[in-house]
Amino acid sequence: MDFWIDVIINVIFAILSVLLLLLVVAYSTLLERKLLGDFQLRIGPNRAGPFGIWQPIADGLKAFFKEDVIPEKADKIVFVLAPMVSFITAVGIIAIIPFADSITIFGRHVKLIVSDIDISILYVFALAALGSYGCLLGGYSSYNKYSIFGAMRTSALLISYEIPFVLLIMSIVLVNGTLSFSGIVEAQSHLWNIVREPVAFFLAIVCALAEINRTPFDMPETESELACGFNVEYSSMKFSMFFMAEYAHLFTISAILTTLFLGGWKGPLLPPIVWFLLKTFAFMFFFIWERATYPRFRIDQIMHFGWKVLLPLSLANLLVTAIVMAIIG
Amino acid sequence: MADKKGYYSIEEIRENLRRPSIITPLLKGLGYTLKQFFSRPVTIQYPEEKRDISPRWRGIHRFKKDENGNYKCVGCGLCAAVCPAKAITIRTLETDDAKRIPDRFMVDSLRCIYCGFCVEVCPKDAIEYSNVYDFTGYEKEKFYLEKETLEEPEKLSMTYKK
Ligand code: SF4
Ligand code: SF4
Repeated sequence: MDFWIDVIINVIFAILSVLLLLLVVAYSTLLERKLLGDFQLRIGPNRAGPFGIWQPIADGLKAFFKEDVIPEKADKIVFVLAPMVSFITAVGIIAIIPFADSITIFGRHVKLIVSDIDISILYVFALAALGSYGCLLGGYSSYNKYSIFGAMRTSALLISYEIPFVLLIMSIVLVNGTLSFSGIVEAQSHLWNIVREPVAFFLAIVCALAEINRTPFDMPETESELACGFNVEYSSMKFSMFFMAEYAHLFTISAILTTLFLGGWKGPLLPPIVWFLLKTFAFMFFFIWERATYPRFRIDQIMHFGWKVLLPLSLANLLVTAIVMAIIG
Repeated sequence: MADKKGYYSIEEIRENLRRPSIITPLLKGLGYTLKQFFSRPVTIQYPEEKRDISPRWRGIHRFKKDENGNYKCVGCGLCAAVCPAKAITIRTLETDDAKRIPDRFMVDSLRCIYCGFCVEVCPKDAIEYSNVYDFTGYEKEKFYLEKETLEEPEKLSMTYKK
């Protein structure tokens, strides 16, 4: 009996957190457009409802009623599958993010985390690597020169920036001594990781930008060169799935950075969930802010930066961390 | 400068380190955009808000009347002759007391290129430009502007309530 109650609570919580994610995804498109408008001295969408709050719904409806075109020569199965891969892997990451402290419902402790596994970090990187297949397959299957270029660039970018990202996170693992996200949050009760690992923090932000394909690393979607990159042949809901995956990534990577460096949901006075959302939205604000600021790198500059600057720096960071930990630990 | 293989010499690396780092300009850029973030948007919300335009704006023509309420035009037809777009149609009527008045004066505002020749050529100063630029319609007929309409082109201006 107890077991089933636990299962039901877990399922309800999982559904709730996916719904929360979808809501955040829908509204982060609006947030991005509004903030970009502010940065560019514009107003941004404001016609659909006050402050444009119905805009995401209008966009979604529009996408839903658009014609769904599949190119003649496309690899149909892969073409249909690719956006789903992208979207599901993006949503899946939400499962291991600790939103808040455990709460008590009906006399039992419920952790506000869908699945508190010990290998959260491996899970994140596995899903992130899988997610890049979405772009790659989408670009490959649409039988279009621009999309294949976009797809190739995406995979090149992801491979080059995943390695330094993993190395940076490994230094966090060394410091905190655990691979689980809730363990990392616990380990930051007294001192946030941003203080212990400042270098890793800044480099990780750079890697995160590349990981979610945002400016200045928005290689897969170089509008000016590749017309739109890997999703050039996609329309209707399939396109929106790629789009939603992108914004889901924006949220999840902010949540991951919050968990890893800013102490997750920990914070004084305010309730934990508020702290968590505050920090996450601070990251999202930063990601939009820098998008409004920086132009895009050229593909060779990105590769140069990734392999010749980021990788050595993150290796050095890991080495120094390991030495320090060996001495004091 | 890196050599062909992309390597830097020790001297060049030292030189690069002495130069202001790449980080400062990046932060400067962020600061600049943040300043924009907190300044007021310059957007004019068009249908509700309208921008101030120059008094010399070339809007819809005004077909002027004199102080007695008669059209200033004497129907000489110069404007129709000079119009490069052939947008003006004019028919002249001769009254019993040997005065010439325009019987019909029509500007096809879809053809007009707002060159200003008709305004300039008119010997009686009977045409001038108004400031009306936001004139819309669903039927083509709406854009053939007769002289009665052109007496007060301001009426053509669009009003929009949100
Ligand atoms: S402005 Fe030019 S084009 Fe228009 S009616 Fe006058 S002469 Fe013709
Ligand atoms: S040039 Fe002037 S006076 Fe002559 S027909 Fe045209 S509007 Fe009338």
